[in-house]
Amino acid sequence: MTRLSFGRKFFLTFDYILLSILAFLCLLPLVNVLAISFSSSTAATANIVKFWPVDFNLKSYTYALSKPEFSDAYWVTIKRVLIGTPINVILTMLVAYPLSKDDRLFRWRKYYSWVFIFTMLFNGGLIPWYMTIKTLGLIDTFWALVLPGAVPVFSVILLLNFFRGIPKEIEEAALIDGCTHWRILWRIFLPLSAPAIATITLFALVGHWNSWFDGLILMNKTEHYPLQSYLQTLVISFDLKIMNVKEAELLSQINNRTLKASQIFLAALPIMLTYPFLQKYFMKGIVMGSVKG
Amino acid sequence: MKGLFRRELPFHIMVWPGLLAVLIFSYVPMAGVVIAFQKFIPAKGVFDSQWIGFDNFRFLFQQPDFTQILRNTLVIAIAKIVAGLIASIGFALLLNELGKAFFKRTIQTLVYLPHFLSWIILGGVLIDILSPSEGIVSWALGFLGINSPFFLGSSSWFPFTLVLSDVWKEFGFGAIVYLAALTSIDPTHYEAAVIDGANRWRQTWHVTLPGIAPIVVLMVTLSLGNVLNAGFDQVFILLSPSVMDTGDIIDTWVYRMGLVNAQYGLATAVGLFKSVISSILIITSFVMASKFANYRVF
Amino acid sequence: MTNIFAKNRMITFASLALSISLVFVSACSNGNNSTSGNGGALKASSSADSPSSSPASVEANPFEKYEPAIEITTVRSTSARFKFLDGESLDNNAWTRAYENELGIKVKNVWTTDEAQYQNKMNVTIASGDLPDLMFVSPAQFQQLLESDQIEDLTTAYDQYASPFLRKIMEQDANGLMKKAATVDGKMMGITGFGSIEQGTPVIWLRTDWLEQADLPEPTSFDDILNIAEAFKKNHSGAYGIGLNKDLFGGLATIEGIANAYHAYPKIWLKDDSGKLVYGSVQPEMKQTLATLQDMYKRGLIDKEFGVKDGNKIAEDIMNNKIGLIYANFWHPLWPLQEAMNMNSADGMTWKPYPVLSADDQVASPSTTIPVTGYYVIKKGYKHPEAAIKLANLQLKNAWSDEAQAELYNTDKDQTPFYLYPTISMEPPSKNLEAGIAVTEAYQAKDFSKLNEEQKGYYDNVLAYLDNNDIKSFGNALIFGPGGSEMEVLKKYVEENRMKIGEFYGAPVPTQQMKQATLDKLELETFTKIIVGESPIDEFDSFVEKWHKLGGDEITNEINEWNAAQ
Repeated sequence: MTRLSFGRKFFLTFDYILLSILAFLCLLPLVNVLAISFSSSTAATANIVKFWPVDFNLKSYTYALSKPEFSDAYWVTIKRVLIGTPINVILTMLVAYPLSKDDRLFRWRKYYSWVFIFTMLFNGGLIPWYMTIKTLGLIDTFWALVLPGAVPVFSVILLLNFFRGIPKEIEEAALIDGCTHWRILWRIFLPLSAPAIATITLFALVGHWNSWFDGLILMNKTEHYPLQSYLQTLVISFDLKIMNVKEAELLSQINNRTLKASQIFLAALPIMLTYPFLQKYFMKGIVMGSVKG
Repeated sequence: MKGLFRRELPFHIMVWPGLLAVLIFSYVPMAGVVIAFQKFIPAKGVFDSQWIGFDNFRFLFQQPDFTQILRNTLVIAIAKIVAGLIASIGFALLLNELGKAFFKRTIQTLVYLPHFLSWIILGGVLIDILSPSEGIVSWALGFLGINSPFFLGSSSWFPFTLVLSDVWKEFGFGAIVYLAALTSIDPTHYEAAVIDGANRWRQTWHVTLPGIAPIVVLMVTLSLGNVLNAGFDQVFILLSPSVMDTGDIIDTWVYRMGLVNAQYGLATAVGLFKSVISSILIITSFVMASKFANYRVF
Repeated sequence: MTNIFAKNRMITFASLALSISLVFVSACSNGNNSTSGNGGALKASSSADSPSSSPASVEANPFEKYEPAIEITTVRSTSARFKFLDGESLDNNAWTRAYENELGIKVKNVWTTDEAQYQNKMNVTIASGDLPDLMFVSPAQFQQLLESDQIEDLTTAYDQYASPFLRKIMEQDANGLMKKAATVDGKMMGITGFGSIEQGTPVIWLRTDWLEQADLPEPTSFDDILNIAEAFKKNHSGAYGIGLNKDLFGGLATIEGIANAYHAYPKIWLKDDSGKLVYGSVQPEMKQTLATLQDMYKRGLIDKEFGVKDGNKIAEDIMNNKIGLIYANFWHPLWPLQEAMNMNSADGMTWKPYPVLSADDQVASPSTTIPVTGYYVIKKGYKHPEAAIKLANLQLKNAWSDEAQAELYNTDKDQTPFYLYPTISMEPPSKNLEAGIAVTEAYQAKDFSKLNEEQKGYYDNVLAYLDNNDIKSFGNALIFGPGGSEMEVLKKYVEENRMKIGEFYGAPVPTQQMKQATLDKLELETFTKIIVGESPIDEFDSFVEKWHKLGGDEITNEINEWNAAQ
């Protein structure tokens, strides 16, 4: 290690400070949500909670966790993530591998590519989409949450570009050794593009975790809603124009900010926690030459 | 010829499962774009709704405020794309320079958090912190002797506020791709550069940037597909009557149209209009990249 | 990074862009009440024994049980408000059991979805052609289903089976508008979902502790209101004279009541001197209203930042002692005033409702609409169309008649909202007003023997608040008790025949479908700019001109054609 120059030191200090400030600014809203979730409902409605709970209590958490809808929805989402993410990742790898080849090696490559890219650009809208899924008999089934988005085309294109960065020589050597393409994908491309695979896994995970609209439209029973669809029904702003006495009585219960805050936090927690685990794949570089086919 | 096909067969087999999925779930429903040319009424269905040719498109283009809405959409979307790219790449590069792994991981986790809060939540927070009379931003600006503008209520500041808050919310998540790309650079390249006597700036210039260039080009190309997507959720939550002239975008317009009656035909037509523009831009940049840089983006 | 979720975003966008919110239904179901007047609200009573006015063919037992039981499929919107007893659900509760045991009707919910997505899901259901036997549709969907001949004529079923109570609501309450609204070419095509006319009116809510502090008398004119606003702003640091939300109309802290002071009736359709329906927001009286608002803003009586504040932000300001004067609906003591009281009653906070006040010597008329929320319809070809009538009969009997069992069918003491679960849900349009009058009378006589179970609940609240100073009962007490909004304000509106009731309640006319959104934007944008002084008051004249040119004239013609056809 050579001694750091003054300029370098100055730059690093600046860098540390800048990034710390940025991270701090990004943390604040979450701290605010957390503080609200532990506050009394009155304090939250009056919006006097900043970064520390006012009238600390755990009521909203005990209430949220006691609601069967919440745990049901949580379970649907966990199932969806556990089944949907591997489907996304495997299909993405299978499609990206051949499409990363040279046109000389795979002459259909360019046609296939455009077939996929086209789907990123055009869609037929809500009603035809619903009708297709209905015709297949998937309405109100778990598979309606997983199959329609089975191929995340954005991830395919991303992975395809990462695959291209892998030196051709490795693949050629493996072919000469008699490896099949299946084996090359599995034993060489997969380990060599760990950061990229981690990225598309994260995208698939976050995508499944966050999507709510498909649940609301494709599920016929509220028990089948995934978590974000359920949360959507809580977070949506109240229409103050159509209100009768009974509804108004319940408004203060439903419009309860502490309850919303606790559920938002509980819903975001798992996905925030997964990141540090996937992170290690972004952290250390991979030495191309060291992997043997 | 047959030999060629046999050689390529594993490639075909790999593509087919994914191909099947997009054929069923993307291409079949795509036939539904025909309702862009209909006065679509759900009770009549696709086959019995009235055909009206390009009326839906004409209706869109003839809106008295169409040029204003289109300009707002383009300005906000392009500013978001550019600022977002710069922020994400800049952040990834700055983070990459740091040595302490724990610090890096903590920072990276924290900046990715706002992505998981919806605009419905953040909207209320923004109104508070940006309030000229009692917001924290106005307090901070006052400290510097600056009079706080009405960020959310003044037409001239509104687009700026949209872009800045969107970049703040998404840059951490957007940086993931670049961090992955940085990790994929072969460390032997750096070792070689060091042996050649390159300092950090030169290493960044000659190794790091070329190393992530393909991913940057890819992201730029794909983001062109969004020049007409200015971010419905955010704008919808923050829009108010006093900033309509600079804040109203195509998506909020379609939403308001839908409030009066379900305008599926019109919404599909707008979607198709956006798709066509996006396709033209993406295909153009694809062709340019392959012509001038001999680089195939897809 | 905007591009990562290109695909997701498309879906999100599609959803939001296409979600047809229920907001519209209420916003645009203005009304036609050609005889004008009060909608006969006070004549209503929830007794089930008023005489039948129907020239019924063969009258049958309205509660006749099916043997063997029949099944009816339907679809439902659900809500975060739902709360069930242990082991119960939407498919198994007091209502489903009553339907099955008393009527022999098994209700099957084919799908349920959150209320925010109900219209969207209903549209895809209609488009896929897979209609349930019974469904609740918006006025626009009602129109579509009529045109494509997909719904059943209920005339005979209604004539035979409608209970006297149902007939009274459909044909007598609100001047018979509920039946009229569902009748097309002499045929009754559905059962109208209906709110309450008088409850749509604006009410002035005033902090009386601040009023006393300022040593001002109770307001009797709009000038008094301006003085009070001035005093509130001066006396309380950080406070505004009057609350105003960014959408100006509908909800908490609006301008309708202020417009009414100048005899302007924005957002609704009323007859002019020639008998033609015209739009209230473009009448000259509106210009005066805006001039006043502009002046109030200039004098600092209105929050400089109101342009970004929605109802929730207004609620915060009320709780934090920044607003002591608003124009809003009758029910706001329940929210946010209740919360504000929980927080501030120890410091003396009190509120009181007042009727809208006039800026001149003519009495001010509060504006409101005919609240058609939608229609219950039966799919064409369903074998038992009369089942819909029977479901309505039973619901009215169990929930609102003299035989009602509120504990079982409305709300129990744990606030389980059973009233949300009936398959067809109706209520007498003036139920709350009657409750307010009855409860107040009972309180004054200290005799609650004549109250029904629901009213007894309000009576207990009134007693708790007025006699025992129980702040938690403030909300209901200030609506139903003496001095409450029903008694002090709505009753006066109705008895003195003061309401201006919007007379258009049909589905959006063709030009509205295409141009209403543009006109609404123009209106809101212009009004806001005038209020904050960015545009001079004369901008109103060019707005009116533009409004007519950009589609207003066509809409006016179409709405008058609609009116002629009624």
